[in-house]
Amino acid sequence: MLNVIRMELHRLFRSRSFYITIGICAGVIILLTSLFAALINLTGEMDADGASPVNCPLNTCASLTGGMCSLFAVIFAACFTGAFYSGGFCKNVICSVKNRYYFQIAKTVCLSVYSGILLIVASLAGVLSASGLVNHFEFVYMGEYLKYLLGEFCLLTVLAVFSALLTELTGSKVPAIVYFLLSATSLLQGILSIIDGKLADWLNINVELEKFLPSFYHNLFSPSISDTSGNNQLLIHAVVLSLVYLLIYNAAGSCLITKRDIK
Amino acid sequence: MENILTTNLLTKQFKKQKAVDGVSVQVERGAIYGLIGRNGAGKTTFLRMISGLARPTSGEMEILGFSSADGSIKQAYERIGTLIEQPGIYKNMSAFENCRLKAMCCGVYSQDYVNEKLALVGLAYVGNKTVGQFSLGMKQRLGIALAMIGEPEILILDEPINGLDPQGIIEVRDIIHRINQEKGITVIISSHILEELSKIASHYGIIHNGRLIEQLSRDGLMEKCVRRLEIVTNNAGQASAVLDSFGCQYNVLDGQTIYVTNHIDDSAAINRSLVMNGVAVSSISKNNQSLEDYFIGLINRN
Repeated sequence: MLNVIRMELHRLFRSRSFYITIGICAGVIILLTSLFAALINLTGEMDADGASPVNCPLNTCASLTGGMCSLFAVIFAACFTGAFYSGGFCKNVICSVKNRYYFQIAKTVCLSVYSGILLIVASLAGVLSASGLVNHFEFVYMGEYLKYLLGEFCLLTVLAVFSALLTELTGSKVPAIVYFLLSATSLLQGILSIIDGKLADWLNINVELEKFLPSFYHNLFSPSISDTSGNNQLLIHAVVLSLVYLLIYNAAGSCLITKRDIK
Repeated sequence: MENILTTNLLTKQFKKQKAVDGVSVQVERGAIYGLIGRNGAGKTTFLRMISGLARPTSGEMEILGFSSADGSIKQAYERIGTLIEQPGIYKNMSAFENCRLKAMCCGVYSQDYVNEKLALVGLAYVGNKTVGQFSLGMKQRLGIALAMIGEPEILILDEPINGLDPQGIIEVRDIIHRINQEKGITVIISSHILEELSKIASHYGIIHNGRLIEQLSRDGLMEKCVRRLEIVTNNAGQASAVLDSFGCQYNVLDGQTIYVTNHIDDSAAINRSLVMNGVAVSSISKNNQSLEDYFIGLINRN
């Protein structure tokens, strides 16, 4: 299994899309921070929490990095998984190992590494550009921000693995990207609410399908600078949920790669 | 010689259609086994099953002593190199990087090992050029190099010369021959370019509509391909009387040429008899069918 993980990590760091997506993500965050900085420098307004926005990177940097990172994680996971199958390289290696689920584990490892690096780069881009562009910017609440990053990392990995699973299941990158777009624009939540309503009418059960999607928790997850105990709870929630989801997705992915004929 | 691969009534069914229908083959160790069949005959599906890429619907197989019946066949797949349909490559990576990835998967981290495999297929000179810029022939050779990584005992090549120019065909043929002769690797190769296959294969399996209709060695094929004696004479009428006395079945073509379809091994006696009866024989020869003629004849009968 270590050989397969090493192979996939080698591929990860050799793939152009790895550097391109991280670069673009950092670039967009810097651009958005510049716009944000221009706005703050002009207005100098206080935010809703009562803290000066220039002293509070949590809500600004977190919302920027969270949204952008999830977009790029979904796209990259779809591309990374798609390349393994669409180019046909899987045919060379899939029978060279004892158990095919090694590839699923290796993919999860790679996507978690990618998510970690993406988050770190995106956060650094956000914080450094804010410190350079926003007048009197001070990076405080470091502990809360690191907690947020850890939780975000877990959820991001889940989202990436889910995207990879969708790509593997359908053999196309499109469904993963469509899923993200539907989810980000709340269209998916609307569709699922309608289905929930119909199910409640017909079967008299309350399912709440939305809660089965990883993006549901990702959308809920945002840090607070006023309630640090709430942040702890959020972090535990994110970590536990991520582990459960990763277990489910890896089991599903392993079944898929083991049982299905390779094209 | 020991059989390295044996299948017993191997079947693959897609919905209601049987792509491979009860195929039983035996491949000897060290052989170059040519799988012949038209497009859609089931060659690729059969090769995909024996290389572990597809599951058989029914039937059993034994490869390198590992059987599908007891589930131990997984261990055999690790010792098989495959090139099924198009070579599976990352086009934005170099040949070296592609081979290195496969080598890493097999637990080999030596760069010299990768270079050795590239040299084996004549790609040692390509450097950092990405595979996307390769010609079709170079991609096929890279596919063979990838299949050779991990020191397989069986090499499965599906249409490796498809779409290649004559020079490319010769190069790939030489590589396959070298791999078989120098490394003793058993090669199972499918193709519908029969003349090319006939130049390298030591055994043949002919597959049609998913069924194996004939399996034979090169010697067996040579024997079966001898179809007639061609006699050119100055007097076909007089020759006919002599052939009748021999009990020959024959056709007179143009007053000079006669095709004899039995007693083919008695050509010397027939010649002597014709001469002794005053028939001048310009030539007498055994006419062999090509593999292509034999294949077409067999397909038409089935």
